[in-house]
Amino acid sequence: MGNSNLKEFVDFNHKKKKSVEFNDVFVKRMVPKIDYPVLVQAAKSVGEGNDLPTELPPDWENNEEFLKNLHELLMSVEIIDGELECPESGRKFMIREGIPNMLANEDEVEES
Amino acid sequence: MKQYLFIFTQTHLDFRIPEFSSLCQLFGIPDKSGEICKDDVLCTIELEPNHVAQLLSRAISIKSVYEIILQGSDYGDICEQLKISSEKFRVFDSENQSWALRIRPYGLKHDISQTNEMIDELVELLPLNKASVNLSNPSIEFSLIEDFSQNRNQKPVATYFGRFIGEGHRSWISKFSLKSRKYIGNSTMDPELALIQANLVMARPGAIVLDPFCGTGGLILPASHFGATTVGTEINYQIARAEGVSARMGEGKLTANQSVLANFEQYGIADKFLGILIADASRHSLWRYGENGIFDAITTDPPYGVREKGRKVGNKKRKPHWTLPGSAHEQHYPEKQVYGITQVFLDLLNLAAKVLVISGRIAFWYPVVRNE
Repeated sequence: MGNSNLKEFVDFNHKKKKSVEFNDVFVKRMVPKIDYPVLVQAAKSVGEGNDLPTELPPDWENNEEFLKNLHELLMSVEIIDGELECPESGRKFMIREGIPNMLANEDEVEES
Repeated sequence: MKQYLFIFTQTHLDFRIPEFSSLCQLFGIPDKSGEICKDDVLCTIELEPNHVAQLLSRAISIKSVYEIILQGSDYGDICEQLKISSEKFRVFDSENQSWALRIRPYGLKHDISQTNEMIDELVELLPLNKASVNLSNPSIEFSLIEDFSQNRNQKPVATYFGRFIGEGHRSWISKFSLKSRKYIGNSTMDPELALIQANLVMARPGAIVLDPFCGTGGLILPASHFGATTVGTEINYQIARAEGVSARMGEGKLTANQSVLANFEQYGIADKFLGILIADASRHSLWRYGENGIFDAITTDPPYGVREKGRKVGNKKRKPHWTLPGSAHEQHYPEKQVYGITQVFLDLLNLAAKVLVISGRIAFWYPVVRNE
């Protein structure tokens, strides 16, 4: 823990897709905030994001098809039941009813 | 630019000026909040018409706005001015316009016969020939607005003759009423204050807004209502998962259709909700923060340790019947220790410094004891 560059892999037992209207403004603002290759890697581990290239395309800002696919991945796919795994530490974080439990355990936190 | 008369609501006076100022900044219009006097209900401000419309599209603290046509000392003065102001009314006097007239005294009530006399007199004086009267659905609503707020029962501070422009969004307060909301907690924020807070952080389409102590989502709901995409964290898994007993008296256990997501669905804004995480707000490494920040705003109401306990993950003194050691259990939720109020706010500001974008906003509540 305490790693500010946590990369997640996702495993799942149950996922859900909902339809969400494409929001151009939102997805463009999200791109600089996400670690794109890690996102795609995590998505592929749950059988999603197959339309997305592994690296961020240089023309992403004007590539509407790409933005739509990315938006769908970000907003439509929900892991209802599964787990997130930190590839560095192997620590798993359970997802239940769509809500990840990101709490460290009491024996994993430094005393304060 | 035109002169407008702003009539503010009589609730939460402290937020009048900050909300107005935030909305000016949100829409990129000149900030005229300096012309508002905190204690005055009525206030005249010079603005562009489209800027007034923008302010009204979001404001909670503004009750209504009038375009000022005439301004005088009292009713008699307005009557005298009407006799010589036909030029100012020419724009309203055409066949395709209809009008109504209202008397609106602030700080004083006229009896009905007096109001009727005033209306009769003003109708005679109004220089309108072609436009017709339409009381139910007029295209122009003229109003005589008398400001008695300072000198009750005496002379008004000022009297205005104006045209009704529009109202603020008081209706959203009932839309977000806690009585009809699916899932609420013990200390869910009052919807009027929550809406104002969403204005203070300039929640808007494209913005990403965090509440690190989100509870049942009462503060991120209005942010999403304003188009922002929101995310919340909550350390109490029962609250995050909507398990256990409802905060409503006599409602019993929470049901499957009560949850934070259900609240977003109730208001038709589920597409603006990224979700909630069960997480400890004191542990900032949850977020992958870089130089540019992640969130455009933080809107939150941290636990003060009175109605809601402040808690963070950590060891506490074990009781003998706790036999299962920490992480041995698959679905283990860690022990929590008291999270002192000073540390809560220091950590919150630290979080803001790490995760907010440059010129991002944070709005939070802080408890004070007032000696009144």
